Amino acid sequence: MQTQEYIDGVLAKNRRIVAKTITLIESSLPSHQDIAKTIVDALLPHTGKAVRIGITGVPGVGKSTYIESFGLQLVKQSHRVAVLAVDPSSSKSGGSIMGDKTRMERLSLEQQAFIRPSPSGGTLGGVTRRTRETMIVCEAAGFDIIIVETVGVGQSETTVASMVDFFLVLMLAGAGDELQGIKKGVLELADTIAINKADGNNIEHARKAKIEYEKALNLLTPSSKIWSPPVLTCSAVTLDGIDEIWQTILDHRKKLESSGELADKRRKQALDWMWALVEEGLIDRFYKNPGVGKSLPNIVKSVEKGITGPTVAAHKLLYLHDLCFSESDYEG
Amino acid sequence: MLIDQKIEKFVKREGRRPRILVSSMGKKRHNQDTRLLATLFAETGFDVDIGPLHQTARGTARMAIENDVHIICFLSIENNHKELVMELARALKAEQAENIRILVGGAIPRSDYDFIYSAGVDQILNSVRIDKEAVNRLLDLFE
Ligand SMILES: Nc1nc2c(ncn2[C@@H]2O[C@H](COP(=O)(O)OP(=O)(O)O)[C@@H](O)[C@H]2O)c(=O)[nH]1
Ligand SMILES: [Mg+2]
Repeated sequence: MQTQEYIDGVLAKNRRIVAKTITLIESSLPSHQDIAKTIVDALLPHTGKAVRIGITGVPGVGKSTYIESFGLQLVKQSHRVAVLAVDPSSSKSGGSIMGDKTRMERLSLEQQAFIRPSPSGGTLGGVTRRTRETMIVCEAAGFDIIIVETVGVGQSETTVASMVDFFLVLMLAGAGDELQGIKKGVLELADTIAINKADGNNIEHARKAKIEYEKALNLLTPSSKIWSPPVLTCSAVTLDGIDEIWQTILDHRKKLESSGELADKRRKQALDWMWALVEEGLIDRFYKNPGVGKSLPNIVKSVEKGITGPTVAAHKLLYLHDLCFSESDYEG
Repeated sequence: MLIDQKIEKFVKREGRRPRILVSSMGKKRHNQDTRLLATLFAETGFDVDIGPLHQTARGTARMAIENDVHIICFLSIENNHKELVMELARALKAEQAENIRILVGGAIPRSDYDFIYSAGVDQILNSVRIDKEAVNRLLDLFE
C-alpha cells in the first residue's frame, strides 16, 4: 500500500486501514517507521478535538470491564470510541497474551467502537511513541473519545498520564489497609479516583475506602488550580456510578477549557512528546552506531569481569558514539 | 531451523512478532482449551489475542482485522467447523482480509480435510494442542 492510501483510508474511517496504520506505527522496521511518521504528520491537522482518557489500576481492578460498560454507554450517546490497551507484560519468550477484549464482549462488536490491544514487544520506551501516534490515527479516523487502558505497575501509568486529558485511577476497597499498597505517585497523577466493585456486600467497604482516599488526597498539593480530584465509587457490573464519572470528565473538561488549562496541558504534552522522541531516538542511534556496536560486547564483558569500572566504560561508549556520529546520522 | 530462529527471522522481516487470534466460536464453554492454546502460542513467541467467548465468524473476522493478526486459530467443538470455516473465509474476503491465515484444531474427521482446506483453511491440527511440528508448519506458511 502507498503512503497516501493509508492517509486516505484513515480519514475515510476504514477499519482495516486504521488497523494497518497502527501496525506500521508499532513496527520495529525503520522503513515502516518512516512511512508511519509521514502518515501521522499528515493526519495531525485532523486531530485535537477528541477527549483523551487514561485508565489505570492494578490487574483485576476491573479496567477492561469498566471500559466495556462505559464504552457502551458512550456509543449509545452516539460517540465513537477507540480503546487502546497497553499491557507491558510478556512471557519469557517475548510473546504477549492480550486478553482485554474478552471482557469487552459487546463493545468489541459495536460499529462505533475500535479496540486495539498492543503487545509490549520489549522495546525501549517504545510505548510512549506508539501510543501517542496511535491516538492521533484514531482521532483522525473520527473517534471522538480515546480511552487508553494501562496496568498500574511500573512506568506505564506515568507515560499514559502525560498523553491524556483526564486520568482515571481505579481502586479496590480492601480491609482498611488499602492505602499502604498503592504508590503515592499514582494518586498524584489522578484526575479522579474511583473505587470499583462497589456492589453487593462491597458497597460499605467502598464507602469507607472513599473516605480514606479523600483524606489521602487532601495531603497532596493539587497539580491544577481549578481542579481537585474527587473520589467516587462505581461498579462496572451494576453500572452504578459510571455516569457520574462521565459527568465528572465532562465537568473537568469544561473547567480546563474555560480556564485555558487544557490548551496549556496540550502544549506541555507536545513538548513531552518531543522530548520522548528525542530520548528514544538517541538510544536508538546509540545502539545502531557502528563504532559502539563493534566495541560493545567487549566492553560489556570487561565490566562484568570487573576489569573496567562502569563509569570508565560508559564514558568510553559515549565517546565511541560521538566519534562515529556522522556515519550513523540519519541512517534510519 | 529452530522455532526461535524462525520467529526471529519473522520479526526481522515483518517488524513484529507473528500475531495470532485465538477465537472461541460456538455456544459451548471450552474456555480451558482455548486458554491453554493461547498460552502455548505466547510461550512459543507469538503475540496472542484472545477473543470473547461465543464469538461468531463475523465477530472473529472483525477482531482479526482490527487487531491486524496474521493468523486466526479456533477449535472445532460442536462439529460445525465446515460452516464456521466457510463463514469466516467469506467474512474475511468481504473486508479484503483474505490474506489472514486460518488454523483449525479439535476433533476434525479426516474426511472433512479436503473440504475445509478448499474452503480456505491453511492448516489443521488434529488435537486441541500445538506441538513443535505444528508451529513449524505454521511459520513455514510465511516463508
Ligand atoms: N463485582 C464486580 N466485579 C467486577 C467489577 N469490575 C470487574 N469485575 C470483575 O473483576 C475481574 C477482573 O476484571 P478486568 O476487567 O479483567 O480487570 P482489569 O485487569 O483491571 O482489566 C473480572 O472477573 C470481572 O468480572 C465490578 O464492578 N464488580
Ligand atoms: Mg484489562
